[in-house]
Parts: sequence; structure tokens; C-alpha cells
Amino acid sequence: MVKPLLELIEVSKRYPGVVANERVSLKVHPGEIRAIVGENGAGKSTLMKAIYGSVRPDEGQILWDGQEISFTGPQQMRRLGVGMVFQHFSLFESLTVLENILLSMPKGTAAQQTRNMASSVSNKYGIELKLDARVEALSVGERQQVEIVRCLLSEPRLVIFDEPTAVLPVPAIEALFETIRLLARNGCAILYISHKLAEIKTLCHYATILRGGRVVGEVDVSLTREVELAVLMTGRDLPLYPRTEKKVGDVVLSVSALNSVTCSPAEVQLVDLNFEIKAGEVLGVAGVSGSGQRELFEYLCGERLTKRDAVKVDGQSVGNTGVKGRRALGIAYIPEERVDQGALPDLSLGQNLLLSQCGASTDNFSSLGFVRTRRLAAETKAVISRFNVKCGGAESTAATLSGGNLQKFIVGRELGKAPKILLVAQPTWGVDIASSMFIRHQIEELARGGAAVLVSSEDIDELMQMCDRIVVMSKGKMSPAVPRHQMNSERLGLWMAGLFDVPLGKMASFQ
Amino acid sequence: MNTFAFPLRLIPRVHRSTWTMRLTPVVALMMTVMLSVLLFLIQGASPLKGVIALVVSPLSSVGGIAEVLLKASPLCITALGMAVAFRSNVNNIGAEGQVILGGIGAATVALHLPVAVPSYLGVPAVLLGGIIGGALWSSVPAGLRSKFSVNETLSSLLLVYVAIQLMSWLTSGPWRDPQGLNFPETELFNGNVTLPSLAHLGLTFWEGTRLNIAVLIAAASVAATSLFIDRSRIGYELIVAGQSQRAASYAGVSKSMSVWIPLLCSGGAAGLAGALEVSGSLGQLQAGWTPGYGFTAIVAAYLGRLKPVSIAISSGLLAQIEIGSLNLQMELGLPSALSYLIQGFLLLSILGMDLMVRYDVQRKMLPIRNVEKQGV
Repeated sequence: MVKPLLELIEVSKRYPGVVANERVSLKVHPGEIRAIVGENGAGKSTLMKAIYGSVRPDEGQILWDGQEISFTGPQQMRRLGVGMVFQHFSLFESLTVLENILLSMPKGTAAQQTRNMASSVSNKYGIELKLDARVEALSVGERQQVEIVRCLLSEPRLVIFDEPTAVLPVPAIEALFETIRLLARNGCAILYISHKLAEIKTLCHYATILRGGRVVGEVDVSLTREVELAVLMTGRDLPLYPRTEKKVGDVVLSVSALNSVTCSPAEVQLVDLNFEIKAGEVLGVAGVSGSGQRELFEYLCGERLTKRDAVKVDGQSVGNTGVKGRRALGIAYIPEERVDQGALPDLSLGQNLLLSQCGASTDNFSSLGFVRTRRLAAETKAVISRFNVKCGGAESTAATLSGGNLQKFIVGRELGKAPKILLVAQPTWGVDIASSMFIRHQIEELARGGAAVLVSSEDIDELMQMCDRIVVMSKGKMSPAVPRHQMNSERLGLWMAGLFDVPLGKMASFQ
Repeated sequence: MNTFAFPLRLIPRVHRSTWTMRLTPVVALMMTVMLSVLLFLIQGASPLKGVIALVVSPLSSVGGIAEVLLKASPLCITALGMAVAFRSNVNNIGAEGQVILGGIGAATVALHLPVAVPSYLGVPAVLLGGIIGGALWSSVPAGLRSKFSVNETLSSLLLVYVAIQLMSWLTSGPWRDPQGLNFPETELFNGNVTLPSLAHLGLTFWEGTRLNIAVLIAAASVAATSLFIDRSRIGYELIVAGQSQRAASYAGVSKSMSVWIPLLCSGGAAGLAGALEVSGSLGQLQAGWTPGYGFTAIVAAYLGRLKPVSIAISSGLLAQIEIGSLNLQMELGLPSALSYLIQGFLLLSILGMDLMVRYDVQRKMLPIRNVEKQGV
């Protein structure tokens, strides 16, 4: 038996009111890919932070190479060889990719040398990196790639991946898995956090399951079925939402000849987009993030204005109507960025509920220009209970919620407006399985009630599950829409590369 | 390459305890008193006498309290306006100029209003003139920022010096009092446009003091600001705009509105403060009038953590330090500039304590050294 590279013995971490980790023991061997699974709030992130050195455990020991290490912070752990790819990125928006990478390099490293190293590492692992682009212009997916490359540059012996595939495009996921397998073959230990059981099944050797801060199971992945993993994780059987028939009505949202004017070189230019969504229909937008999805949503929700006729709601031209005006027409938008766009971390949940109300027909939260706090609190409580948001009440700040819970709150807020058109970007990024299924089900229910839904996601399985028709975006252009049963991996691959006209060879179905 | 490394670093605290947040002002006050004692010792004065002159004597008589309130009122009003701007992330630091323009606006009305106008119309007209003057001055940075993206920090500050010159020209030129023995100042305002004192209104408690209705207006401003910023929809939108531009765009907050309203509010408030000064304790416009409120108001706003009620308290405190250091000068012969030092101590203590509450100060690990020398 090989000596474990990292060993945790009965590590506990408590926050006021919450036990994040309770007597967690864990061994990781070199060359092993170990999944850490658990629902939102199971204590995965805290445990990883303890290993990475950014959180000091209250009790317990951490052994590295058989030697106990005293807590001194991330720098020491990095020096020992612990690398981490975070779920929330620590990149400076106004700096370029290269500058961000340089910041994590030892002092005195030359830019040119870093550039060479970064491009060789990214080539080796099949990542396409725009070294001179500013981070603010990158999509979430691209930002994550920067983080991965930055981490790999220090040649770590243990790499922690915190939900790395949540936003990666399908081809890149396979490439990332190759990267991870390659790292493992070279003797690097991997800790892999994910909600996606299918991924864990294909990638990982072992899985440690956390629930409520405790280890509730350790399994050999090849010997365990997905369903068993899910039951271990949630402590219960997953709910099944049956898919029922629904009626499709008239066109609600139509986009014709939408072209964008770019304000910065890093922005994707939209070229001649045409599509329509009928009442009761869910249209999915697949594609690598940063292919123009963000820009498209901004034009649809009214943050950017365009020619009047480019966007029509119920036949009414609204291309030059602003956010509040479009909200009045029944458009609701769940943006990709939750923190600082969909919600403000320092404000209470009640105040965050108010964020996207102005203009909506359901906005009855003010009288004579003043906020009706009692009514707002009541509605906030209703959203919290309807969407089972785990939080300290309507007065707690958004910053105290985990990513998944905040997303549930935002989805609940937007669905609470009973919108006629719902725009959703990455609906379940970072959300655990049970909550993801719940969110998707709620969105489908909204469509069944006659709303038109546009959803973009990099998780093609999610789109296949939710959508009636799917389009693919690539470099600002959009493919024709096809019913979901006509989408397959070959077509998706071609379309994601922008080859909309290439005839298909074989028709391999996705399902 | 810069090889100097600061040996400490700040780690944001995940959980801030509320009682430490509440305790910080008290501890900061105690630190300020301790530092002041040190200052008195350096100056060779008795620390006990110094603290008494500074803290106790201004509040030991009705007249003293009246002077503190008289000083605090315009300061508080200006600081309230600044707080609205700061919370919207609009850095109007030129309130000093807006105060002066408020004085000029008030003087414009006061010098041209007929004596026959009754004072219940005259005084509001003068105050309105002040508000308009201040708001006009702050509308320059607002227009520049929303039209041409000019940084309002710089433009508002530079306009302070323009305002000083403008006042100097008006008082020594067109508005100079012909009977004023050549002093650069306007005529004394008529009785119908000067602020009535509280004693005049029948509040006998304030008999014999200069305290006027400015203090009532300040109290009303605290309530109004509180309602506006914490309860109104526009105030909410301003706070959203102040926290994140992306969230503001998502919410549909108009970009130009989120610049104009905070600047007009803070300019108008500063203008009102200037008008209260000019039509109250001064009774005329003088070239030598350098109110100083505009800059002290920034201190007052941050001391009060940008919250209206706290700002009222911090303004009172700063006014007391100013009056107290006048006492120091008279009783102990210490330089009056001490007041600025003590105000500075207070702000530094508060900000320092805030930092400690928000962040954990840790010793930094030595940076990782390269084994081999790397070429450039």
C-alpha cells in the first residue's frame, strides 16, 4: 500500500450557528482521483479550504507525506504542493490574463517566460487561452480556464478542483478529464468536487460522500451505481418530476436581424440573429460560453438597446425599450452572474428581492415612492419557503447564502413575478442535484403555464432535459433551431465550431 | 522589481460580531482622548485641565451648548448630503465650494428682496436661494461626469477654488457695502431675511444665546435623509448603483440619474448649510468667510458611517471639539490648530477600529524565493 500523500484525522470546523465539518477523516494517495460529493452546504468547500490552508480547522490533524503540519496559511500549502481551482474566481477584472497569471508567480518572474510557460501548459492540456485579453471581457468558462492554467503552473502534487465542469463546454470537459487523468498518471493526487454523478462515474476512482458536515460514506466508484451515490448524498431518493404534455401557443418573443455594435474589442459581436419562441416553449441556447450568449441576453432584457424592430414581444417592437419598460411587458431575467449582478451581497434578501421589481406588473412594493417594507418582507419570506432557500431569514444578507441557495432565491424571485418571457443563463451552475432538478422543474412548469423561456447552458444534458428546441451559438452567430430529439453530439460539435451548413454523416441520438 | 514586502496583511473576517461594531465608536473616542492627553503633555499643559476645557466646558453652560449646536447644524446638513453621494458611490468632495455658492445664492436673494416682504416668506426664499446655488455648483461635475465621464472627484474639488474667487470678487466688487469702511463684505441683511433665533420664537431656555432655527432644520434634514436613503425607491436605486454598476444595469437604474441625484442632493444640502450660515450667525457675506464645513463634513459623514442619525451625533462631536479647542486656546494658551489634530485623531481612530473589525491582521509569510536567477 502506498503511503497517503494527504491524511485528515477528525478535522472539525464550526462557524457561529453552523457546523461546517464534524470529525472528518480522509486519506488521499498519489495518483488517485477522489471525488468529494455532497449537496450544497454539506461542508465540501470548508473542507477543501482547510486542506488548502485558507481556513484554520478548530480541531483535528492534517498530515502531509506522513508529517503533521501546523496551520500557517495557503502559502505554505502551496509550497508543499497543494493547488486549487476555485469555484469563485480570484481574478482581477481590469488586468489581462497574463498579468493575472504573473501575479501568482514568484517575484521577479519575467513576463515573457510566464507567457511561454502558460502557453505550453495550456497547449499540453488543450486549453485555448487569450493571454492578452482583459479578464472582465472573458466569459465564466474562459475565466475558469485561466484559473486552471494558473494552478498548474506551480506543478502541484495535489490539485483540488471545485466544480470545474460546471461551466465548461462539452468538448472542453473531455479535454479537462484527459488533463486530470494525465496529472493523476504522473502521480498527482486529485480531489474533485462535483454534483454531477455521471462525471464522477467516468472520471473518479473513489468518492467520499459528505452530508451535514460529516463523512457518510466512502465508495469505490467503479463498484457503485449512480443511484446509490445519489441516495448517499441526499440521504433520500431523488424526486421524479414527470414530463407531461403541453400546448404551444402563439409567438411571444421574436428576434429578427439582431446585430450588435461592440463597445470593446473583447466583446462578441452578434451577427444577424433570428429566432422566435412561442408561448409554452422552452428554447435552449447551447455553445461554448463567450460565444455571444451574454450579449444576446443583454439585448433581450433591455440592458442594451438596438433597432426597434429587432426585438418583438407579442408583435410589439421593443428593441429600443429599456429594462423597466421590458419588465412591464413581462420579461424576467436570471443572469449568469449571481453576485454583483443578480444579487448584491451586502444587501438583505428583502432588498435583493426589490432589485428586479421596478417596472414589473407585480411590483406593489411601494407607495408614494417609499418602500412598503412589510409587504416586501412577506414576499421575501414566501420566496424563501417556496424555494426552500436555506438562510437566516429575510433580513440576512445575500453574502451569507451559499451559491446554490442564492440561485434558488434569484430563480424564486423571478418566477414570483409570473413572467410572460423568462430569460435564464446557466440556471443550475453550482447548484446541487436535488435543487437543480427542482429549479428545472419550476422553469418547465412556468412554460407549461404559457410562458416563453429562453435558457442558455453549457450543460447539454440540462438543455436536453428542459428544452423543446435547441439552438447553438458560436462566435456571435446562431444555428437554426432544431427540436431536441434532432440534436446529437455530432451536430452539436459541428455547430459549436460554427459549421452550421455541414451535412451530418451519421445520426447518433443523444438519448 | 520592487522587493519591499509589507510584513502584515489583512484578511477579511468572515464573521463580524455586531457588538464589536457597536463598541468601536466608544473605544475610538477613548483613544482620541488618550492621544489628546499625550498632546497636552507634549505642549506642557495640564492634561486634566485640557480634557476639561475640551470636553466638559463646552457643555457646561446653555450658551456653550448653543454654540456647539450652532456649529453642528450646517456641518450635519452638509454631511447628510455627502452621505447620500458617498452611498451612491459618487465622490463629491467639493462641498466646500457648494457651501460658498449656497452663501452666494442666499445673499443674492437677501440683497434683492424688498424690506416689505414678511420674514415667513423672506427666510424660506433665502434658504431656497442657497439650495439652488449649491445645486447649480454641483450640477457642473454632474453634467461633466454623465456627458463626458469626467471624474467628479477632481472636478468638484477644483470648483471649490473657483467658488472662493467668485465670492471674493462679489464681496470686493459689485456687492461691496459702500458704508463698509472698504472691507470686502456685503451690507448686513435686513431683519426679514435673517434666521430667527430660538429665543425669539419663545423658547426661553435659549434666552441670550445665538442659537437659531438652523438646528431645527438640521433635525428635519436627518429625518428626511433617513427616509430618502433607507426607505424610498429612489434611495434604494442609488444604493444599488453605489454597490455595483452591473447590478444597477440589471435592475434598470438609469446611469445619468444615479449621478445627477446624488450630486444635486449633496450640492443642495451644502448650499442650504451655506445659506443658514450667511443668513444666520453671519448676517452678511464676507470675503474672509471660509466655512470649512465642506471638508469637515466628509469627516462627519464617515465618522457617522454614512448613516443619518450617526452623522448627527458625529457632527455634534466635531463641533464640540472645535468649540473645545477654542477654550483650550483661551484658557491654556494652546494653539487653536489643535482642533484639527484632535479631529484627525478621532477619524483615524474610528477608521482604524473599523479596519480591525472588518479585517484580521496577520503576519505575512516570507515570499517564496526563486532558486535560480531568472533572466529578463
